[in-house]
Amino acid sequence: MPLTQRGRDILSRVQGGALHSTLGVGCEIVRHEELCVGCGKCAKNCPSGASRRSDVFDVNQLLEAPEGTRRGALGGALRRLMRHAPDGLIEVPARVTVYRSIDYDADQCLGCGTCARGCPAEAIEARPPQADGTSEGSPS
Amino acid sequence: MTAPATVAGAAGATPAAAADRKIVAFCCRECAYAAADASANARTPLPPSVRLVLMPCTGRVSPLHLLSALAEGADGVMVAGCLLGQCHYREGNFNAVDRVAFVQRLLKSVGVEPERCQMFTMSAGEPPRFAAAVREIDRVIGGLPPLPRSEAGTRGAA
Repeated sequence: MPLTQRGRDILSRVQGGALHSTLGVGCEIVRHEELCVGCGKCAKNCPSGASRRSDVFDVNQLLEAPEGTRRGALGGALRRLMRHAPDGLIEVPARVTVYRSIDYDADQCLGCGTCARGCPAEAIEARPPQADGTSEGSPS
Repeated sequence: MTAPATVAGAAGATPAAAADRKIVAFCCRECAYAAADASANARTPLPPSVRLVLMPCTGRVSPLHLLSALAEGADGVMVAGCLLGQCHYREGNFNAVDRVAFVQRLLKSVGVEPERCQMFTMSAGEPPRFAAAVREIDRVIGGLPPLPRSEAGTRGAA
């Protein structure tokens, strides 16, 4: 994913031009949904509102979760019971908090990487941008 | 669960016979378990399928309890808690209601009858209501086709 327009605007306002070494703004955010535990910290920490807890849950997230996790255990039980592959999204009742998918809106994202730093499951990667505005590459 | 998951192999047959049926009832200590106790003291006959599990509050019941009970050999699960608004821990049973609804939607999305997981509420002083709830879910489960379990329970025997 290339840098968003908003991310580029912000980068142009930052003193010194581009950010080279720190997780500042303009990172590419890569979410690994299968590792997500649904704690919602990314949504809580997100300064721009790009990550939000949604009202729906993708049942496939349970089936893809790694073994040894709570979601993985739930997925294992579900796999033994199911008659067909999940129909997809289900609505989540208000008091069920952790079994929710996270809405991530790349257009609103600043690429600050706050979500990645706060993620207890290490399900979010923030890839630092390069000086030319592409987001491929490693921190220098 | 104390019972080993031996029913697992019965897939593809007619509905589980009354004697083979297993229903796990997660009961709140403050009300439903007391109601079950009183119901037993009054010698009310209960369906032989029901297995009681004592919980401190229905708010302790997680979707994992319900689904793994079903996966490991139960034909149905019920959560029996206090009347809404009368939870000993104030709102544990509201949490349970939503979790049961969530599990029902999960089951529905993979093609399993959502009626296999149900929530009942009662007060400690209503043993007949507990017996009626158990008979009700036993009747409903008795009319459903057996669950497709892909493999026999591995943890059930432990």
